[in-house]
Amino acid sequence: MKAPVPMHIPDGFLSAVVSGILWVVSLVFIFIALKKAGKEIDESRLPLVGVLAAAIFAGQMLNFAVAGGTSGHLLGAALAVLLVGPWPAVLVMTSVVTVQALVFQDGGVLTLGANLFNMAIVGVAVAYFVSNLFKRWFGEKRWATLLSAFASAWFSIFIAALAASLELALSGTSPANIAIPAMGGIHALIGIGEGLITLGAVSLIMSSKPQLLEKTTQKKVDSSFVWISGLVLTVILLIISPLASSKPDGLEWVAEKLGFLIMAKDASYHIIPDYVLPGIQNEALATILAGVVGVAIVLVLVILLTRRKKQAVNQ
Amino acid sequence: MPVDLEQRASYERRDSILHGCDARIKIALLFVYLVTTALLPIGAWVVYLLMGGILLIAAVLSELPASFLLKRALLLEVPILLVLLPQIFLKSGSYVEISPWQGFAFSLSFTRLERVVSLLVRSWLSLQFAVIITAATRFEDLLIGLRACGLPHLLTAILGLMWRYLFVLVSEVQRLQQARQARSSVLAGPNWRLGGSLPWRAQVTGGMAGALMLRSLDRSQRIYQAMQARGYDGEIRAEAVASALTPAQRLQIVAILLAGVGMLMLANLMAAQ
Repeated sequence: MKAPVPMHIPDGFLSAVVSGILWVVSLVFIFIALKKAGKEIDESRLPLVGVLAAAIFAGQMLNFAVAGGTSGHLLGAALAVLLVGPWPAVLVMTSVVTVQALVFQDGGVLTLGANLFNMAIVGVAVAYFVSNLFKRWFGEKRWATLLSAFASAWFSIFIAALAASLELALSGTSPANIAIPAMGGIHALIGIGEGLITLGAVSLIMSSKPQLLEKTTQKKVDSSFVWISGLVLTVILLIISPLASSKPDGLEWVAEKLGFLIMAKDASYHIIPDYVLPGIQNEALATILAGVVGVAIVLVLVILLTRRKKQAVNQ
Repeated sequence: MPVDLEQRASYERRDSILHGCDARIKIALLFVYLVTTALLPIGAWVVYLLMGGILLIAAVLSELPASFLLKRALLLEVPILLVLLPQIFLKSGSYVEISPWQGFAFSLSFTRLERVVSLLVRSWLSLQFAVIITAATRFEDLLIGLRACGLPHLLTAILGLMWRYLFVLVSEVQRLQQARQARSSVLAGPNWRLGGSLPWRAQVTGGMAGALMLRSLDRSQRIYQAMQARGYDGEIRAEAVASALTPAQRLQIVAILLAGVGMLMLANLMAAQ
């Protein structure tokens, strides 16, 4: 059920600044989604969103064998967009990614903001943008709908992976010239699996309940905002990624200037300025403090462990 | 193959101190621990060790077997290792050229190695701590705690519904997979393969996904009708509300915050040497 490659960024791989910023961005988007979708969701659609989130989570277990022991998976952002429209899809994917982080440790808690951004916001916005673009170009023909299902799924995976790799590079976790081709390349392939599954799902729904797919276009909540953010995200990430991977030091330089980087050795903040506690006292104090904390931890452990022994003996 | 979701869901029933602790305190503890770990500088080994000690205390308090906790955390570390590791061969910072035999040489960067090892240690600490806390907290309690921390009502309601139907739909998926297995013959022998061509297999899986979506949409309609039949009007009343924090609990949260700040100051002092 786990994605075979790290689309879910674990804790400790993003610098505090990057995860902080993305938390804020994600929360703003989710808040807007709650407001926009709230008008619709209030009554009949609350169970719909909750159950669809559960279905997408469970659907991620569906896979098919590809060569060499690998398999194609479903992540589901595009499918959610096609079924319920962009804003409810943001909420569906938010629930999926949150439960994955909080219950299954797929992705960190502190990096949840970034993972929400990549999968629930970038993924949904890009999928919506691409599927809408196809609708404008080709209308409602059957082949166009199928093609748009494939394309929106592929792009949502690929662009989300680019976003994730840029975040890793900005945090100084992995240089851009390694992270971007690695993540982008793997997810270009994974995207094909996602695209094919989404296509299959849409073709089944089209032949058994076509009104489901039409309904979402009629019930469109004001979503030009999502459309534009999808366009902007796609264009920016497609332009930045090759630039960054051809000049990895450039991105690191930017990150350093902005203070994103996890500094080697050097603490990036100073709670106690040097002049308050001069060098040697500093060192001594730090060592003593570390020793005291260490002894305290050992003491607590000893007490806890002996108490457990006693309980076991008493029982 | 069907994955046993309930085994992967991290909650483990025990009667430990950590299990009995209020969810809000555990959320505060987890949050402070993760933020502190994320803010620690690269190569602050002594402080990493102290954070490890705190982790050990939490593990002992949770009364969960170490093997269980370790297995859950380490499995998740493997994929990210693959993304991190290649950079140690870059020529950056202080590095050495290694030439094990003629005509083949690579460089090993110590600066990058220190960074990669630090990142791995920190991510393991965070992951392990999250595993311990979530193994000791029911998801329902976590939701109540998050709601008390100000998560919007609509979101907790969606999450609650999702959690309620997750296991139902997972067994739905397992039935779909069983049906596929029953209908697909596997050839024995060295050239064994599953089903037809790759697009065909993808299409079958897509059909399964579509069927799953249709069934869950139907189910959500039935749920809504059932909710209406019971007097649902947009307000979820059964959702439990957390009681107010006692002064002792407030004190605990303040102590946790102070401990986090203390650790950061210590790391700062050590790094300033």
